[in-house]
Formats: sequence, C-alpha cells, structure tokens
Amino acid sequence: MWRRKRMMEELDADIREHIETETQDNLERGMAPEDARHAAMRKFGNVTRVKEDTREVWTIVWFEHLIEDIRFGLRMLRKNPGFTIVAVLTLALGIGANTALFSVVNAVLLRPLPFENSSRLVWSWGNCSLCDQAAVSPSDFTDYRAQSHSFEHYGAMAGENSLFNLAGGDKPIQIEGSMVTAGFFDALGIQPPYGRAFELSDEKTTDPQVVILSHHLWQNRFAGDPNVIGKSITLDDKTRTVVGVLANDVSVLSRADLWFPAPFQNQGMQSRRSHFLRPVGLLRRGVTISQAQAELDTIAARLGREYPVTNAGWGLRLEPLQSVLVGSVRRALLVLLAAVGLVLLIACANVASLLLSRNTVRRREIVIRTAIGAGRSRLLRQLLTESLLLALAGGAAGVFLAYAGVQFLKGLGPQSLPRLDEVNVSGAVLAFTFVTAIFTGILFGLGPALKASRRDLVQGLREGGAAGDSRSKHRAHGALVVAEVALSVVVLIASGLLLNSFWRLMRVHLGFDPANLLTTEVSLISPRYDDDRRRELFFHELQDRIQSASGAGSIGFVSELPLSGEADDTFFTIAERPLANPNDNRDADVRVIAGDYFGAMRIPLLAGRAFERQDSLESRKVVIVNEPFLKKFFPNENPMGKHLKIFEGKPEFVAREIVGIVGGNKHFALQESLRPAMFTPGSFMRMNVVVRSAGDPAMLTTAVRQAIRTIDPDEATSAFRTMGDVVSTSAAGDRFNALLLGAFGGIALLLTAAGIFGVLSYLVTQRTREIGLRMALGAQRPAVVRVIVGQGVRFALLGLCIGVVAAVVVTRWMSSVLFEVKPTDPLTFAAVAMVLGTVAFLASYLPARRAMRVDPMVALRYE
Amino acid sequence: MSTKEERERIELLQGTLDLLILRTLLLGPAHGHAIAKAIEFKSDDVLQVEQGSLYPALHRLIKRAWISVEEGTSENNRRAKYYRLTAKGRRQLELETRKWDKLAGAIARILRPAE
Repeated sequence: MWRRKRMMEELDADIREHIETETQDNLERGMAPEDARHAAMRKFGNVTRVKEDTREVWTIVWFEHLIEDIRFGLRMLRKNPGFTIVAVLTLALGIGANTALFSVVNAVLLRPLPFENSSRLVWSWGNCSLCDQAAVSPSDFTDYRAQSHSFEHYGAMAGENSLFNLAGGDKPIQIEGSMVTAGFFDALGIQPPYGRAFELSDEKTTDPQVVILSHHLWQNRFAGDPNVIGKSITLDDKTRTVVGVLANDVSVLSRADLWFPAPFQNQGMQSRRSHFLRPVGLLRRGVTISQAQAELDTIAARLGREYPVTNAGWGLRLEPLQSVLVGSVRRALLVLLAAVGLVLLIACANVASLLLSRNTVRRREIVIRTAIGAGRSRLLRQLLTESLLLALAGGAAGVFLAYAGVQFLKGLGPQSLPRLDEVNVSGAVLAFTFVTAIFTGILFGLGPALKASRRDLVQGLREGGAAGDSRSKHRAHGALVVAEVALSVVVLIASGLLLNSFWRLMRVHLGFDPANLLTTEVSLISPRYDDDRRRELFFHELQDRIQSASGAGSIGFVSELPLSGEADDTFFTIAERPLANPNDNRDADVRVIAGDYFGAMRIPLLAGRAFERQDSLESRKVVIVNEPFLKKFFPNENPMGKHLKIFEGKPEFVAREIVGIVGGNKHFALQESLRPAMFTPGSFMRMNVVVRSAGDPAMLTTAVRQAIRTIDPDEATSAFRTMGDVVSTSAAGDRFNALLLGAFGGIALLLTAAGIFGVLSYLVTQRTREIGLRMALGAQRPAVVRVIVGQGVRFALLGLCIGVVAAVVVTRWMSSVLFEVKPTDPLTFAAVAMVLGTVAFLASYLPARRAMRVDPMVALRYE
Repeated sequence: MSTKEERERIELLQGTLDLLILRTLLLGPAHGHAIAKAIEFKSDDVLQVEQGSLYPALHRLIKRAWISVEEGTSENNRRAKYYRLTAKGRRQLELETRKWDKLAGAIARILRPAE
C-alpha cells in the first residue's frame, strides 16, 4: 500500500519530466518555444486521465493479486484435504466454542438491558448497619420519591408477587400479580401500546381498582384484543378495571402475569418498619449516580432524625440496574471466557505446528517461487492468505458449532443466569466470530509464513526439500508444543478447580435429607381461608389424609422451602436481655411451620420438643430456634424457657418462649454458612408441603393431589418436585460453570494430545533416515522408542512447569467462584500434572512405535 | 503488415503496449520518454503511442514485478527514472511473444488463406 502511494506521488514529477524532454526535442528540431510545448502536450495526451488510469492500475493489480492468492490458496488447500480438514476442524472447535460463549457474554453482560435509557436506570437497595440489600418500606419510598430531584421517574415494585384467582373461561386460573407504584413503568420507559401506565391517582386508594395486563396474559387469556382496555376482570371475587396492556414482558425483572398499583392509603402501606418495596429510578440526564446517592443520603439522614425508631441508621444504596441483574454472574462468565480464549490459543498452536510441518514439505515449491522472482512480501502474503482462508473456513464451521452450542447452553441454562432467553447468535456475535477468525488466521499463520519466506534460497535448493534437518526448525515445533502444554495446563487446572469445588458442593452437609422427599405448594387464596383457624384445620386434615392414603412417612409444611429461593427474616429482641437502645433490633430468618416439618426434612431435634397441633390451635406463644441461632445469640447460655419478642407484621412484637432447638440447615445457597433461624407454629396462605416417602417420592404425587382435592375441590394444585430437584436447581449455576469449564478442559486436553502426536509424528518422519541409520548401526528398538518418547516427554515437562507457574498466577482470580477449594489446591494441580503427563506419554508413544518399525534399508533408500 | 508509405496509424490492441515496453527494455534500462521514442522509431512511426498511456502501463508492469525502477540521470543531465526488465519480466516477455506469434499467425492465415 505504501508503495502505491509513493509511486503515485512521484508520477507528477515523471510526467513533467517527460513533457519537458519532449519539448526539448521539439526545440532542437527547430520549433518555436510555444509550439514545441504545445506539440509535446498534445503528444502526451490528457494528463488527468493518465493519472487516473495509473491509479486504477494499482487498485486493479492489488485486487488481481488478492484473487490470484485466494485462488492459489484454495487450490493448495484442496490438494491436501487431510491437512485442510484437520486444521479447519481444530479451528472450528476453538472458534465455535468462543462464539458460543461470547453469545452468552454478549447477551448477559454486554448488551444493554431491554429498556429505553437503560444506562440511566438505577436500583435502590435498603441499607442499614446489618444489611445492604434490604427492601424499602412503603412510607420511606413515598418520602424518597417526593423529596428527591435526581430522578426523571422513580417507581418501585413489591419484592414478591401475590397470587390471585382470575375468573373467566372454563375455570379460574391462578396468576401472579405484582404490585408496582406510579412511575415504575415510566422509569423503565415502558409505554403501554393500549391504555396507560399507572398514575399517582391510582395509588390514592385502600384497595387497588385497576390493573395492567402482562403481554403473555393479554395474548393468552384475552387473545391480544385491544378492546380489553376499560373492561372489568374478576380477581379473587373482586372487580378490577383493565387500564393498560404491555407490548413486551419485563421478564428480567418480574414474571408477573398482571400488575396493580400500590394502594398507599391502605393500613399495610403506612409502615416504615416492613420493608418490601424494590425501587428503581431513571436518573435525570446529566445527573451522576454519586450525585443522586448524595441527595438520597441527605434525605435518609432527615428521615432518621424525624423517625428515629424506624429509620435511624437506614438509607438507600444506588446501584446500576445492569450490575444488579447480572453482577453476580460476571466473574464466572469472565473466567469461562478466559478459559475458552486459551482453548483458541491452543487450537492456534496446533494449526501453526501443522503449517510448519506442511511448509517443510512445500519447501521445494516455496524455493522455486522465490527463484523465479517472487519477493518475500509477495510470498508472505500468499502464505497468510492461505492461513486466513483456513481461519475463515474454521470460523464458518465454528458458527454452526456455536449455533448448536448455544441451543445446548440454553437447554442447560440455569435460572440463576439472567437474560438467558436473550442469548442468540446475533449480528454482533457474527462480527465477533469474523474478527476472531481473522485474528486467529494471522496469529497461527504469521510465524510459519515468516519462517518459510525467510528461507535462504541457496540452502533451500541445496537441501532439495527432503530430509534436511536444521535445529531451528525443531526448535519452532518444540516451542509450539511447550506453549500448547502450558496453555492446556492452565485451562485444565482451572476446570479441575471448578469441578473439585462443584464436587464438594454436591457433598456439602445440607442439614436435612433431600432423598425421598416430595414437595409441592398449596395456596389457600379463596377468601374463606382468610381465617387463621380454617387454614390450620386445612393443613391438619391434609397431613392426616396424606398419611392414611399413602402410608407416607412424616409430612410437614413450611412457609419458605430451603434452597427454593424463598426467604423471610424479621426483627426480634431477647425479652430477658433488654437492650440499651430499644431500636437496636436483632434480625434473623423466620419460618412458619406446621405438621411434622422437622421429621419430614430429617432436621434433628437437639433439645426440647417439636411443635404440637395444640401450639397453633391454642395460639401458644412458642418458638423453636436452630443451632446457628444459638451460637450467635445465646453463646454459653441455655436458651430454653427464654423469650423472644418477634416482629410478626403486627404493630406489637410477640413474645414467644423457646421450647426447642434443632440443627441448622442450608437455606439460601449451598455455599453459604448455616443461617440463624426461628420457627414459629402456624399456617400461612401459601405453604410448601414436604412428604417423606419410603421409595420413589414420585409415586406419592397422586395420593397428595387426591388428598388436597378431597378437602377442597376448588383448590388448584401446583407442580410436584422432589427435594433432590430443588437442591440441584439451586446448584444449577455452579453445575453450568463446572460443566462448561470441564468441557473446555476436555477440548484443551484433546487438542494438546493431537498437537503432541502431530509434532512427534512429523519429527519421526523427518528423522526416518537418522533412525534407520542408528538402527543399521545396531541401535536397539527400545532405545529408539526411548529417544522419541523422551523428546515428547521433555516438551511436556517443560510446558507443565511453565503452565503450573502461570496457573498459580492466574487462578487466584477464580477464588470467588470456588467453594471450599483454594485456587492453589495441590490435589488439583497434581491430578492435572498426572493426566497431562500420561496423555503426553501416550501421544509420544504412538509415533515412537512407528519409528520402531522403521526398516533401516527402506529408510536409507528413501533418500 | 503495413508499409511506411501508407502512413497508416494503428491503434494498439489491449495489452500490446505492455509487450512492446518489455521488448524495448530487453535492450537495456531506459526512461519513460526514451521508451516512447523507441517504440515510435522501431515501428517506423506506425505505432503512434499517445505518450501518456505509457505511464499506466509502466505502473502495471512494476506492480506485477516484470520491470523495476531505479533512479538515474537522463542524457541531458536531468533526474529521471530508469525502468529495467526483471527476470520475471523476461520470462513473461518470452511467453507473451510466443502467444503473440501464434495469434498473429492464426489471424494471418484466416485473413489470407491463399498465401
């Protein structure tokens, strides 16, 4: 390119010179100076057109060369189908894995959220001395909304959805409704295509009168009819008016079927103590998140002075919505991306060593091309064109692999990975693949091409293209194998660590026994269950019926099932230990249980007693706490008979006597330490049923469903799950990471084995004459095998050392995704070294066996 | 072919100019103006090259590495570019000349079947 520029710059001078010379000639022929110049100009022709034509020459020739190179490259690739297929497949594997993973990273981390102005969307966490991800109380929310000026819109949604019976059609269906405030949809930039969003006037009520339908409910239940606006629907026997429908669902935030406005005049919405709203705001243009944070801090301080009992020490913490939704998976995805990048490097090393070997075979061709005047840059371009063709073919094949891979990942997809439904092989992903392919082609092609084109002409001709054996050539092959082993060690150690960590996670002590445990949900949403006692009786009867019908083991009910994602916590104080500051409440998990919950879960009773039916029926004020609770709040003290004053949503705290102590259990996640928890007797409207079975828990589903129907035919039953499923779903994210990184480790190992095998096979071929000579001179076959295997193992050992050092540096980065495994876990390191050593040995042994079979006579004659 | 007396001027066939330049340079390196003069003179002025069209052709040959450029001075002591035939160009000339002979022969046989 630069040459073309220089040539064009000099063209002007050349033309001037030419015309000058012609004019001079004409003058010498005796023309008048004026005529001489004219004649010269005429003879030269149109100067501008000459320049244009010349410029065109350069462009055309450049293209001609490119096409020539491509055509020649394709011919060369067709001529060596074995080489081409192996190289393309290797690259397809590397590029495909990268493309698949990048499409996940792109959808989850890179692509903006599917909201207008998503970069200005911020989430507000409730913040106190003991918490930093709490919800916000309704009265606090309205104060923040009224007093802050940093937001264009500030709205909130309830942290949890409510269940409703939607009448109409053949029979009522159960749907989830989400309570949101005015400003919520405006902040997200959602305009209902028909009807309107909620307004402040919708909030001025004790009972919400209007609803907005989600897109899927509108489509499925109302056939997408725009005339649904203004119509009435019946929710739990109450009439509501549809004021809007959504054009898209906001599935990243909520899976609600419909939305209703927060009724701020309701008694339950006047609280500063119960925190259940999740505010989201759209920052005004030009307002930074820290400016907004400063303003909220000021308001929080004011509220703290005004309402010290409830608000002292409380505030809001702003975080970009994007980071809230995907922050937790960021590190894991980046680890995966790094690993898959290393896999691509290994693939590159493989193809580079294939190219090195092939260029040696092609040496005669290259030498001849040089001899007949192909310049080095021209040769380099030719070889690079071939590499790029390979890389692009690999990239194209990789896209197909990635497409299949993405389907696989989505099938595998854990719910903990947000935005998974948005993952696809998009234009951005294809652009990434294209750039990766080009980069890859240059990466693996440049080295071998430089080496081939540097070849000294005279020596090349003298060597004649066969057994010539320079040390530097072997050094390049050796370096590639070493690099490949080192890279693969890093990937394998990373995947080993993650698999090890996952293995431990699967064997972690849960505190309960998930085997042979069936679970389902019961929601008593009909108004006749508004009475506490009716609910108690329902669950008592359910326990008896399941017991007698199926001969199942223990049966229990719990408000929040462990590892299901449900959770609740509340304030309490210890009655016998009054605190200096009455507002200094303690906080712990709380669960409402009925039936024989501990028996069904096999959570051990360590002291005291479990609940009896009388506890709930007679409203005895009792509570059971678990061992972590004991350790945290009653160290070195007997808690039995002591009283906890627990905040249970009513204005007054309820004092309960501790009557039992049970073992702790995992509740949020397998990784967490056991959490302090309190259990109170009772029955909420929605309870989880847990049934212990003797055999396969799935056998009990009919009996349980039958039992529910017999008591209340109107009661819809939800899906049944085994507790084993619940546990494995809660580990789905970790399984996803472990499985993927394990797969990458497998690919890395496979490619490395192929790489070592390929290079050693090549070296054996190159050394056939030497081996034949040695054998002719009396070397024993085992000695020959030792030489070849020794070479392979030496490469592997060097790579192993480098890889282990690199891994120690790199895997520190993974500590946040590891569970009970140190990033330098010696066992994992040793196992990887063993596996790689074995693979390297085998990959060297096979070519060595071939060397052993070399017939000295044939080998020597071969020359 | 044509005779001097007819003074007919013939338009050059596509690519022919390249061939003529290569042939001219076979005798040794020359600068642009000299090449144009040589072609006119050798063809007894029958082939009237519009001198400007020489330059795209020269650049095409350079790009294909059939000729190379070097700096030098012309007869009247001016700075000038000398064009020199490369090994590759020499081979190309042979190839093209053979092709040309074949073509010319074939056309001649068609046009003058009696001879």
